[in-house]
Amino acid sequence: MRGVTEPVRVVDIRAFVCPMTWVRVKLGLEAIREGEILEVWMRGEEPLRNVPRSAKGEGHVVLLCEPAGEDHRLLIRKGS
Amino acid sequence: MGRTKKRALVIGAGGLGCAVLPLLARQGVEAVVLDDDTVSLSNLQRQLLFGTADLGRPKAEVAAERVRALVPGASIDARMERLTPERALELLAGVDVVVDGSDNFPTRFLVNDACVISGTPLVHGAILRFTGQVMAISPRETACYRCLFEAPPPAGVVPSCAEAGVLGALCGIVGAWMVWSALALLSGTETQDGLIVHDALAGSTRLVGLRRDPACAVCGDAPSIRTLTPERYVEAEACVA
Amino acid sequence: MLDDLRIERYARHILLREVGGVGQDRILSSKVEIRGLGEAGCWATTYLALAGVGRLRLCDPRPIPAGGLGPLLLAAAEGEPRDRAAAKAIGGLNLDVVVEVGGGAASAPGAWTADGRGESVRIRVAPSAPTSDPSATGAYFVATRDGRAVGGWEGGRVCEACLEAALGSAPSGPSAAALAGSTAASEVLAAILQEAPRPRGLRIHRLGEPLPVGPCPHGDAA
Repeated sequence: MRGVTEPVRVVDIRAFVCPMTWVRVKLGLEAIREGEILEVWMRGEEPLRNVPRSAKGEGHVVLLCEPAGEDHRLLIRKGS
Repeated sequence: MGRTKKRALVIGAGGLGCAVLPLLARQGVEAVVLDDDTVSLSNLQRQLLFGTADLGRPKAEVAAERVRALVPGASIDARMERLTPERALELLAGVDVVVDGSDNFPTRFLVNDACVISGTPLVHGAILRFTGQVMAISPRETACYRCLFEAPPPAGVVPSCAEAGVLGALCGIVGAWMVWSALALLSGTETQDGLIVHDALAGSTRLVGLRRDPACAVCGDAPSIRTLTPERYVEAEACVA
Repeated sequence: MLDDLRIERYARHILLREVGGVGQDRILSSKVEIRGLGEAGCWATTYLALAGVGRLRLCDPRPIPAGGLGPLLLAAAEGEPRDRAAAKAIGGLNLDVVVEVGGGAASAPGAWTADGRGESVRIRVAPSAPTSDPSATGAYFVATRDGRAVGGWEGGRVCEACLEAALGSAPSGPSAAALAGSTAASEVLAAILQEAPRPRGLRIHRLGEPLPVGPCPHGDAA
């Protein structure tokens, strides 16, 4: 059984451009339950700027946003 | 001038442009449509002049083709270009009304300033999520866009519809109000002085009354903006599509 | 239901907080019947097709008039039955939409057609599930004449006398039909998304709050 900090789903948006970046993350969040965690792999400045902000705007919690090589890894806990 | 047909310059062949162009054509208004973009899949949810077969083609060109097929004899000229400070006043020459359906703030301010400076009537329209707004502007008589919004907001403060989404049918609602306003400006009948705001969820349309601001930087009593200096209209980083 | 192509096509709907993938799936699974393809009906049909309404049933066998109709029916299609031509046009716009053509010559296109002087559209949204409250969907009605339009969610049949009175006080303009048809599409999509119960009753589309048409005093409306 996964712990409360383990993501239950991963979305890789490194190949996408705005607005498909947030669209894919949003659909990933729809597929998990409230309280569960989504892991997102991002590349470039635009998603780094927009995805955490959009996630917070829709009531989710950004637990982590850290560089991972040329990319960024994000953990989002689904809100209500 | 001897020209009996009125001429409209339509900025943008996107959601609003696509709704406005067939309506103007059916009213016998000549149109020039300006857009430097190509048709992409995410446009098809609301840009009604484009079909699946048009992906990748220049929007202005497809829009003009489609309008001619819908309204035989329609006079419509497609320009695959973006409105720039250098070309704006030239493009406005001989235009009776500008219909602005652009999707970014620097262009809206450029269009506004160019219309005020040249004395060209303007209809501004914008859509976002479930709301739309329309403003009919008679330069130096009614409020202009800058009377209401002094300057473009900092990048990222106001989402574009690419970021926040938009209800497709709203384009038809707002487009219809834009054409209503454009025809009123063309015929010299009274327009609603202010901002028309439509809320598609509430199903209501209301008017926010506005007056020209005597201190407005472009249409006020002592305007500081008298020319279209390019630095004033620097494009904020735009999202692709 | 949402493959990569659909995610991209409907991205601007999915982005809406009130829609998302769940809402777009609901739209793709919905069934809407449109009776009456005049100018307003064509605008409504176009936006519903672009939105991806899964099943559209179109009923209007009348020939397309000279000059075409709305943004949907080309002038070159003059004389063709409106519903069949619209079905073909929708094929070019959005293959996610399955179009049925029905009704036949015997069915009236809408509840009201005033001997050719006006157009009416009745748009019926089928309940999305057997247990749905049928009064939550129902029929949206639009009537246009001489550049004026009224529309709204029906409670029952619309009495012709009430309609005359409503149309008489509606503002006039060449884009009235586009406004009414686009509003109809917007209302139908909101109903499918179940975004708050839609306000009942015929309303005049105008600047300011939509003016409700009062309860029918003529005893005719069911």
